[in-house]
Amino acid sequence: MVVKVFGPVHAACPQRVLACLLEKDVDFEIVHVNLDQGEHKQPDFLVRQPFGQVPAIEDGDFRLFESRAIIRYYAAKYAERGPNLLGKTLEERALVDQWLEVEAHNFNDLVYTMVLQLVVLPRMGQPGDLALVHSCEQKLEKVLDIYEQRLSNSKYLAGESFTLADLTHLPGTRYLMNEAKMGHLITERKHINAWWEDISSRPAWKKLMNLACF
Amino acid sequence: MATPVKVYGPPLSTAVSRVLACLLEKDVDFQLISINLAKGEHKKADFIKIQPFGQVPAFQDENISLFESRAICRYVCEKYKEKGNKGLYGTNPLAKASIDQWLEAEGQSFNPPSSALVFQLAFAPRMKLKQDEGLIKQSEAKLAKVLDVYEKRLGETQFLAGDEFSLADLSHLPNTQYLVNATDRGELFTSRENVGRWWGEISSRESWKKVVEMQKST
Repeated sequence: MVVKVFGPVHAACPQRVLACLLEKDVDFEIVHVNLDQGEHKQPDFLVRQPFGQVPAIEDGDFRLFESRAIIRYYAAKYAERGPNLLGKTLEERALVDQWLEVEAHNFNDLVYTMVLQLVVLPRMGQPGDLALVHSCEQKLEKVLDIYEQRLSNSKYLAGESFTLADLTHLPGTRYLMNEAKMGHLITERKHINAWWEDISSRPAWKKLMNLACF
Repeated sequence: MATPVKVYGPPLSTAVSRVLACLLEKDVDFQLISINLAKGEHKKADFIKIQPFGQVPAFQDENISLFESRAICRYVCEKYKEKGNKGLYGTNPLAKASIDQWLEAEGQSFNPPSSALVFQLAFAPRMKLKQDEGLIKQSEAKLAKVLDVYEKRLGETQFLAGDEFSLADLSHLPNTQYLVNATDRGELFTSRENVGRWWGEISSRESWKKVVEMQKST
């Protein structure tokens, strides 16, 4: 039985889930959702994800939404398979959760806003708010300074092994560096740059990049 | 008897009160070390050592120093599985997944607009800061849409993640407490039948009543 992942392969939140499934070697099928045509706001989709967002998953009778909940579920379900993405002890697990929350509350909003203003709105023919981008960039610099400090003391965010805490940053950071052309934020920081080089060259992430034709 | 765990931050802070509610539900003894935000104690070197982003709360026990309220709550639930409310974070993987789903919904969809409203309507006046009318209108509209989803969900199940009170419901207590009791936007919750019923139930839990007491006595 394959896990069905509903959402476009190029969107950041579905990619968070797909990266996890690929790391854990879990078979999946991507069911495309056309965001441009508003498919995610149609009644059929709202049954799956009542907030009208991607991704959602369907695994037999089991359904789930929210990418960070989905990756926690599969990382736990297949804990014994492939890399340990959750940490081995209670304390390691807590650090993974801590940095997952940091990504969700201190990193994601800033990156999302910058990508929206620099990439998505212009694609739709609307001008982006450059003052807002600049303000986000300044805040993100401060956040990344803290990440730099952390990564100068440990190889990965939650410790010495790659975990969900690092994985969760992959999709947004890639958009930030590529389409939004804000790569300097990453490359100017020695330890963050090394961390990014490391996590973005993982085979599972490379497979996903192929799937997404990036 | 175990040494009480330490929580750093003022009980009036929504994120701090989230952790306090969880500790009380799990019957875990704690020591609250207040941090004076008005005096900028959260930005001082000593505090930055335990919370590098300069935010409250921070948490310490004999094994770990941790931050991010929802991560702290998960840790407390896992470490003290057999204490207090045993089902708070689910007793099997499927229950836990549903709780995580609604915890994420709270963090991603409910928290941003409700936090903005709490700050603008309950705190800004106290701090003599000018309110941002545009942001208030925008946040209210966003929150109303989220609560429409909750209204439908809570017509199907008693609580968000299922038929038992969980961490997912608990996570909503701090912001909602302010909105219902310290602003004139409480009817966002009380005018929705299922959401109103749910709020009545979760806010009358003994653990939450104790947190509110702690906030009042500050």
